[in-house]
Amino acid sequence: MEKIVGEASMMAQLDHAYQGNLGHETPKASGLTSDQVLVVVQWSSGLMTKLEGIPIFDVTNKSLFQTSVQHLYDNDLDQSVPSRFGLVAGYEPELYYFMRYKLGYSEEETTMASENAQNLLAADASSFTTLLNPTNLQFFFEKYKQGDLDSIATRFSTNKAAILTTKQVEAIYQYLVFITEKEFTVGEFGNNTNFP
Amino acid sequence: MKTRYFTYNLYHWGYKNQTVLNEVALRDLDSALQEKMFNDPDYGFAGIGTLGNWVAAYNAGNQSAIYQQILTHF
Repeated sequence: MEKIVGEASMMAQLDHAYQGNLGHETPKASGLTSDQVLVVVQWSSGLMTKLEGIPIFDVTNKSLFQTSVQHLYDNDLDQSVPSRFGLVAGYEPELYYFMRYKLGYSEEETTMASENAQNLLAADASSFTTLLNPTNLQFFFEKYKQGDLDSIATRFSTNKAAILTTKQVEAIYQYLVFITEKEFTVGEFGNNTNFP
Repeated sequence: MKTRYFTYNLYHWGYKNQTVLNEVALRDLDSALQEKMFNDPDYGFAGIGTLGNWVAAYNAGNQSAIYQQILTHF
């Protein structure tokens, strides 16, 4: 088992190579050091979507291909359904992409303070602002149902310098509905609870 | 997403190829076990979804539930 998934395995060696590529091609200023930070970046900006030069395997040419995630969404590299990157991801994994290209928001309307994204996705379940807390989510959906987007924006904004707009609140609602539907209907990983 | 990105590349880079897999990652195993590990419906390397279980075990380490599940399975 250790020879297959241990520190000296083929998997580990390829992982180090890919992580090196990802890190090398990603601006150091973004501070992408963990999946958690990566998610925050995905929510708050289009950095990961637009960044050119992320190595992804091109099935047709059988080699790593320098491209952007957005390019993959827009032009499937491989038309044979089982191996499309979109299916692997299950859905476009970025709130930014959803806001910009599904809802048609402008760049300015889309960009969210990273501080806000960090709080919305905080792993601390006792946090007053994380969407990973059922009580907070209940507040979010109740207020949305009442049409009170201002209360949601106020509750989930971090401070005066990091204000969540009502338009972003609307987008988050749409996105939550979207990814929930997709998670149950699309993606080869849809039923695999071991796979984040 | 990083994990899915890694699994996608891993699968197409070589893990979907049984010959490559047997010569490198599974080289010390007998052919019957190699065959079973490749085609297993839950944990086989032949499917990108089931390969995801191995990547999950790799990420979670040898004390994790998924690691132990695979170990017990084979």
